Amino acid sequence: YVYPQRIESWPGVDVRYSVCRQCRSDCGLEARVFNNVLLKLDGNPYHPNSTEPQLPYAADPQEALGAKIPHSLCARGQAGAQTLYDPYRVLQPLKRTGPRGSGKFKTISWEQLVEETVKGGLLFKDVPGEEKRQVDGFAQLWNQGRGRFTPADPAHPDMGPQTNQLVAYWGRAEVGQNTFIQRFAAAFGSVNALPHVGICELNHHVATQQSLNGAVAMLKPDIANSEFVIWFGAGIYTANFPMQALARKIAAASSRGLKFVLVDVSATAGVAHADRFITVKPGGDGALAMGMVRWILENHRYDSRFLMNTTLKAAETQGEPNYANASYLVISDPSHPKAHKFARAADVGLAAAGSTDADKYVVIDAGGQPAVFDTVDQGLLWPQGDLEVKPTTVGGVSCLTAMQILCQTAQEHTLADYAKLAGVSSRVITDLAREFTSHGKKAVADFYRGPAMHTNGFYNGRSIMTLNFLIGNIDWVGGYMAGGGTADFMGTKPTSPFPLGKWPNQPKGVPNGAKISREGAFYEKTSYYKELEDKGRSPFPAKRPWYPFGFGIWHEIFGGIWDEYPYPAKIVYQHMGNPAYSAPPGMGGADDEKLPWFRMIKDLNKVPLFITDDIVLSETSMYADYIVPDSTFLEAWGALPGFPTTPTSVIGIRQPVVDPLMAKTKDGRPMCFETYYIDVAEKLGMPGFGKNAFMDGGSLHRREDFYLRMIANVAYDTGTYLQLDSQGLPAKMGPVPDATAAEMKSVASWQKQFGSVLTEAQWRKVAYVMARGGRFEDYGLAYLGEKPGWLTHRYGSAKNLLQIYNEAVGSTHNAISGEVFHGTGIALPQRTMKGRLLDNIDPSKEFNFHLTTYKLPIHTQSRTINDPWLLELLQENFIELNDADAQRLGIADGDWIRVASASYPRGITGRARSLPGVRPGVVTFTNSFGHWHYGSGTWQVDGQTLRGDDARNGGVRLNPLMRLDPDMQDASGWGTCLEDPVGGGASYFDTKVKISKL
Amino acid sequence: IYHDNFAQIKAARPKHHWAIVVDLRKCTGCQSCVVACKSENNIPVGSYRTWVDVGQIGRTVAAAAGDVVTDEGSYVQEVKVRNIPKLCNHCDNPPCVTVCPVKATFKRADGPVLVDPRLCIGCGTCVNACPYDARYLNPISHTADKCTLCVERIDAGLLPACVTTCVGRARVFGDLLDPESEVSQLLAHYPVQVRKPEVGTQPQVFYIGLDGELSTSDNSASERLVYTYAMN
Repeated sequence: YVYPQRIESWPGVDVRYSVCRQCRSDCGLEARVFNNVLLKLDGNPYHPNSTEPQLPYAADPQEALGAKIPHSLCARGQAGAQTLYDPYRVLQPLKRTGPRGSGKFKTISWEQLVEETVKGGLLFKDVPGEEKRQVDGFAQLWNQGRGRFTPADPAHPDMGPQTNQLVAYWGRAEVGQNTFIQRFAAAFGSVNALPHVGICELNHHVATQQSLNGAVAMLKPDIANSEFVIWFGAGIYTANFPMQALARKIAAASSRGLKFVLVDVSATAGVAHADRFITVKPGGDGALAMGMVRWILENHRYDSRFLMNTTLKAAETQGEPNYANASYLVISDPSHPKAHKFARAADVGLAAAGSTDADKYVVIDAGGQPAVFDTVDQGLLWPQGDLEVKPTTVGGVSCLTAMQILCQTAQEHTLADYAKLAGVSSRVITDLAREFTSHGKKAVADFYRGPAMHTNGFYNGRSIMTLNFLIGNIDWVGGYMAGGGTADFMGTKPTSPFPLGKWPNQPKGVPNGAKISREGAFYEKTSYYKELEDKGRSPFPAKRPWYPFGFGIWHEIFGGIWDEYPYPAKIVYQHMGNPAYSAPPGMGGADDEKLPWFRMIKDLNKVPLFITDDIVLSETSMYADYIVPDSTFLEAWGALPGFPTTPTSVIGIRQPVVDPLMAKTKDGRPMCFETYYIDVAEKLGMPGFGKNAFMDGGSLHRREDFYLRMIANVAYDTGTYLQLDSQGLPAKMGPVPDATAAEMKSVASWQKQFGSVLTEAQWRKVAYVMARGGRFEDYGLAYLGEKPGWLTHRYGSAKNLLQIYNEAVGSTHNAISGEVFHGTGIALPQRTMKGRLLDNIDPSKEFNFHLTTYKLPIHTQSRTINDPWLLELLQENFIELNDADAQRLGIADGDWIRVASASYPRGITGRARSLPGVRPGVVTFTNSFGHWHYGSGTWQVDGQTLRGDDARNGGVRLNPLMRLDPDMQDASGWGTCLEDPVGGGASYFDTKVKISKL
Repeated sequence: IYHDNFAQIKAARPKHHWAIVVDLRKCTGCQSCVVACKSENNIPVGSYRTWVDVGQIGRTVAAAAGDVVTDEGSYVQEVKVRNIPKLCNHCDNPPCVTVCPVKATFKRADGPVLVDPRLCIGCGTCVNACPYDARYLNPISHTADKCTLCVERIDAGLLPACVTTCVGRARVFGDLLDPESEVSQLLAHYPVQVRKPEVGTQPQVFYIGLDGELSTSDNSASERLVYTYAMN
């Protein structure tokens, strides 16, 4: 008896490889499609996120079809088919017909959408109250190209031109789509093409970057070979990067003997296999880490042989793949004009100004004499004696080594104090420090959002990164790794066929100026600062913070728009984001228009034109003036690099797996944000779009003109991907082979539609890539470093160093308080922007719980509640608290309780659940619940009331409770969330709340 | 196919004896198998052929030397997280089969316990007979429905959908008649348990690391299910 069901190898079922976007892991997809209908999603057996070991890259795609190996895709990934077929999709352009947020729209033509948003005018003259409101469109800012050269604020021309008043931001747009938005903004003349990192894990990235070379934002443990890993606040098994590979590798390794510890504030899924689960006080991770640093230093458990190396060459002689600045001297005299910077040879009389050595670092050599760093192999860590933190005077300047500053900082608290700050017993610190330093290079301290998204998040991360430096585990098998890298998809190298970051007729110096979020810029270098300094006044506080190290800071985009600082916004364009629901903390998150984000978006003067693209009517797009129907990820293009979790090179290629559901333009292009940008650009005559848009002379009229070129760059990449040569050694692979006739089927439909974009020869390479869903280095290439124990792909191979002390951070000011940041890791309490202690502002006596959040493996932020397979697993979430706390307060499971904070005293109610894994004194909830739109509720289109599925609105969302920074609220009460003054990331975990039973 | 006398199957020398080993040391509780089953088999919303109980067990105890220190005192958080995938056990002695009044349900010689929906009258007797709650009445076809081990996939040489997509690789599928198969090797090298061995059904889904079940725990106050069932 054969069960009567079709299987995936049924005739007529096509397999199309693509890349998931149900979360940011970017796992390879294997989509089964029949008659242009998506049947099922699995993992791509070539993609190392989904499959381990993945199929060899040379394997015939026919072999992949019947692969008898697991090639997984997580629950939310598989449910992505339901995102595509959501019955409440927005498929036509919509225009607002009532006041913002009224939910009243009408369907308009594509031509009207483009025409009105470009030309501006009395666009909402039919809306009561807006009869006379003149709206500037793209054409007014562009001003026939002159807008790019007209200062937005003539008094502060360094803030950039009026075209910066186009503010484009996104929630989720990855490689491919984000580069498309950046291209549009850059060609238009705006620096404001901004990601959402500030509400995500920003402080993790900044802490990592400023501990490393300023660019690398993430390392991950080599899980397969580690012996001991501590994860501080990282959602292993539920999220993180990539969720599947991380979970699979940890499960496998721990079943074979990897010991791992989870440090968190509530038990997450990973506790199932952890050897130890430690709860800390929210934000106490840095105290725990610095306590460990102190113990490691004082017990001489750090790798001094490694840390003394002054250069990469010296390190390599010792068999080390990288080096640190532990022995470099820092000018410690606070009155010195270069205080907090590394001493340079010229500063201390070791070289004449202007000589070749003038700017070189200085160390104390083994004989106790100052030396230019690259003239000696080793520098002393303790020039004044073991663990002695007294300064050394060199050329009349008092200096400390980076290591001394770290030690001095670590000794600011005793171990008992660190334990108290972290909320653990002292034994926890010593146990962890001892075990961490008992595995040579095969131990890792990793972290993610938990320690990072606090007001002290940058320093927490910095302190954890430092633990790794002390044992020198970076680039080692079993240590902390940078991953295999990825293809040069933008074509920056001369061997690439398409330099996509350039285009004809782009004027030099466009775009320029400061971003509206003031990220990526030093306040000290602005005209605002100089002006005050020249007048002899204190430049502090600035009107709003400046964030030289952070990027994608949503709350500062909104704060900049509200305060019109450094210039007012004219057009706000949102791609795939949902700030009304998802963030930033305290500024949105509930259907309450008193919250700051709603006040901002409803203010027609501050946001004269608000355009969003979206796939459904979300909480945010309900406030849009125009909605551009957009593609789901299953109808979109992209090129998605891997994560450091994978030790080999990775890039997945996203392609539409079915014909897009959105309506089409008259010339047959799917309506989506790329088509919209193209048409706006063509109407304005912007460079980089329309005719002669690429350096090869080709035009950009269809999104595929851009993305197919990107895939060709991947196919022709010569730098990153290795293969074994005839002697079994890793050698550069060069461009991929030509596709076979059978493999050419992977591009048949694209070639038919867009044949002229690529040459025949290029199509053959692109087909090879598309037939496998991307480009993947073979599994066996991970562990072939030149020396024993080295990884193949290494952070250190680009001459990168590790920064025990960071002089850029250590000499930069908090633009609000004027305080100078600290150059090493440090344990700090949670504070406001002006440095006031939060504990003093919201006293623990009244606000005796600490609010946090966590993730489930079945959801991603704001955009998965519309998938019935996920929703049925859990229809609502709960307000969760510790079992002993619940008992003390007389709260039983299912009881209704109210949680309130100082900045949201009315509070939010929900059902309680007690869990033994929640730390006492902590209250938490999982995100993704508590919607009020997103295909639910009611709205009107063309006068008809539409009703969504209210099952999507279950559960509770406590984001509105999250603390606004009392130092940053204006007279009207408008304010921004608590933020990390160094990283710029939003604080999600620092709000103190009170609980009452209803 | 067999409706009773299951002991005779062995004598008939079937080619395969399909089984699943669930290695709980690797289950991450991610629910990927649950959704894969729904996607592969078109299961109506609200019904499941497989599910994963994810729960927390334990309690917080005030203890002078506890590692958790707050302003209120110090504690020990005795907490375990348990992820337990569940599905039809494709028992070698399946009580659900023998009770069927119309012989719609049967055991195949190579292991899978199946229902022929053309014969099923939807009486629900088998649903009640299963000690594992692994059967349900399909609300659309009104016939008994259950895990088939993705029999059409395994007959075509593929893995069951839940195995193909298991993120932690906790689900292993294979042939117990092949001593080299991964399932045989796991059974040879690790102690395994089955669910409710006392009822004599001879389950063919084997667990590594199953020590007491969430759903049969005596202390219901100390266990917290996260998924699949909404809290009452």
